Amino acid sequence: MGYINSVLRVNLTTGEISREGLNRKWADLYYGGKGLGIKYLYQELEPGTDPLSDGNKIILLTGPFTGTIVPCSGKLSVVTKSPLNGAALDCSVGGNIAGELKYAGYDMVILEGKSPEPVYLVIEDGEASLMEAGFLWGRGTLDTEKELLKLHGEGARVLSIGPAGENIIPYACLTSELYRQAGRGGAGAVFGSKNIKAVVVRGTGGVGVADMPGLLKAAQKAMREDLLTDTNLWAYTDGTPMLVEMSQNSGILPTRNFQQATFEGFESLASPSMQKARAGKKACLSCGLGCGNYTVKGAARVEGPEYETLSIGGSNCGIADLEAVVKFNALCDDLGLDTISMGSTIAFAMEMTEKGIKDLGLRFGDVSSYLEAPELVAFRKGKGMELALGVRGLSERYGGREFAMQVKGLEFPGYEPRGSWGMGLAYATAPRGACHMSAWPVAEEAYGERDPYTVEGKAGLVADLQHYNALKFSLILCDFWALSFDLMAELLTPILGREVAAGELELAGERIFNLLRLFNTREGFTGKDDTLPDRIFNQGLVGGPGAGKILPREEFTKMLGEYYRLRGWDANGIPEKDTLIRLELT
Amino acid sequence: MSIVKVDFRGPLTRYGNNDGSLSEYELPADSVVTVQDMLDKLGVPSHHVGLVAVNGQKAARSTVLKEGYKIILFPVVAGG
Repeated sequence: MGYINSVLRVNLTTGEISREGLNRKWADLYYGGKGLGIKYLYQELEPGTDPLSDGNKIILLTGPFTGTIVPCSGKLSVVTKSPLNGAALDCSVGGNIAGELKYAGYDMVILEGKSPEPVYLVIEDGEASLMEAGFLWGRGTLDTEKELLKLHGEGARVLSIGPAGENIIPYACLTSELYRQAGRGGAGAVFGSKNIKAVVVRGTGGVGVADMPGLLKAAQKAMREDLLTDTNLWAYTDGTPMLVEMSQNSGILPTRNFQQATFEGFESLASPSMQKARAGKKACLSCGLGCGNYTVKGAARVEGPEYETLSIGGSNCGIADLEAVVKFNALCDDLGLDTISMGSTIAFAMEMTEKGIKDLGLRFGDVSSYLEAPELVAFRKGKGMELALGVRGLSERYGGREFAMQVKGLEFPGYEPRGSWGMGLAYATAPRGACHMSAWPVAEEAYGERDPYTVEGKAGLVADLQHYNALKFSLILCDFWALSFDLMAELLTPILGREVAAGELELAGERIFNLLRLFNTREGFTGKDDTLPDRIFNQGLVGGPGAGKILPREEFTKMLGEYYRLRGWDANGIPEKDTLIRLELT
Repeated sequence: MSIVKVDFRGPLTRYGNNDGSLSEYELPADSVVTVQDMLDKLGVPSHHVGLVAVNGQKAARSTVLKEGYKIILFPVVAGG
């Protein structure tokens, strides 16, 4: 129970659509979402597959909680090989489409091959078909979604790409419900390379659970005693914009391409300013928190901006104008661009100009060129051709590698590692590159009482958090709910109809994280890729409580070595045989 | 009379003034008052408080408060 036991496989080359059973053995070991997706990808993808070729696959997944009354279980997981860096990519998108997929009779959808013409996939209560999508090609995600809802009914849910995905920008994203994104790593470009514009889902079925009274009781208890308490309600009252002021005060707010860790204009981007511009709230399916904020500022409106956009698209570009950031967010959403990679790339280009390396017409704080950039990128026009390379690509072409803020080709999100040394390790070791979703030690370091400027204890902290998130995103639960493994087990037990132990879940998290490592190792990544840009090791922080701090290279190396040992990986970062046996990965 | 100003964020605003203005806290004369002492006096549960900022910078619970200081109390956060 908890699963539909049904997988939809769509071969876009031949148009063949088939239904197959869910691999239950894998579901027992990996649960769903991120974990199950990487297992399928690892088994089915030929090593060395070009991410933009018809050999790549993109998998949409639910989890055992999806579609049930378990709170915060509304996210859809997306797994593929990243066109940005060739690593394993998993990302997720909120809203309602994950539940809808299960109600339509599927646990997951595997898209493979490449369609000769633009198409979109329609899934309606078990039936699936490919439809011609020429009339949608070139249109933004907002327009696309509205058009598809007209055709398939307001109750349907849509996942789509914008022009950036069609034009195979390596940091193009997937959008659902207008403003929710599977943002990082270029899943939108994989859709575009396969000529698939959108997936439309309509389902009216349900999800069976083994013990409904038991689940009602467990879910009610979780809501009352855990979710809707002061531990989590910041997500409702403020949402992620609250982190702007927290990062400013703790000295980790990326400013002017990570040259500074505090921003003189932070107040215009902080939560009190956002609350004044708030026009409404939004929650995903089954969520009791409702973190989404509709914002209207001047002529600009969007659901958002989240912290990552306020920091990377705001302070990191030297932009203190909330209306401009709202506009930037809305543009990226409609064009189908990841705001983090786009913002980071603009900030890098701004510093290239400042340093006299290459002038792409972008200057820190200049709103007009900043707002022109997303469209130029999405349509590969003018300087957009260059900006589409992303930070690593630009630095390889023109120089500036020491301040190219990326790891494994994925641009930095909004946390300064010199002010949170564990976050540096998290960026260096996250499977998809510089990523804040693999582990988030800033909560304990920069925002908490743990010393952020030491490597002591950080290897274990980061590894534990990586297991926690790997499992959470496999079940699939939202990252804003800080629940324990014990509570996850209490909720899963009545769904599956067997006693689930917290230790079993923790071990599964470690298994999933190691499988991601095996995938990347097979693709040629080594321990040498687990590093950070030179700026972090060499240049003292400017401003804030961490002024003058670096993350010393020898300290980082020590922390990384300890992390490998704790994980049971060799000196090159390859999992040892004993580790693989212990985790049932042989 | 030594006064510090206290601002609350997120769900912690319930411990401040209803109108959202800065709360004032009077430091007792002739004794050292830390951030933690103030939390206890205001009845703010310590485990629900995450970052504490004093005069725009992260501070420890043991930070000693002085006249005119501005304190912001943030809740514990999760996620990313």
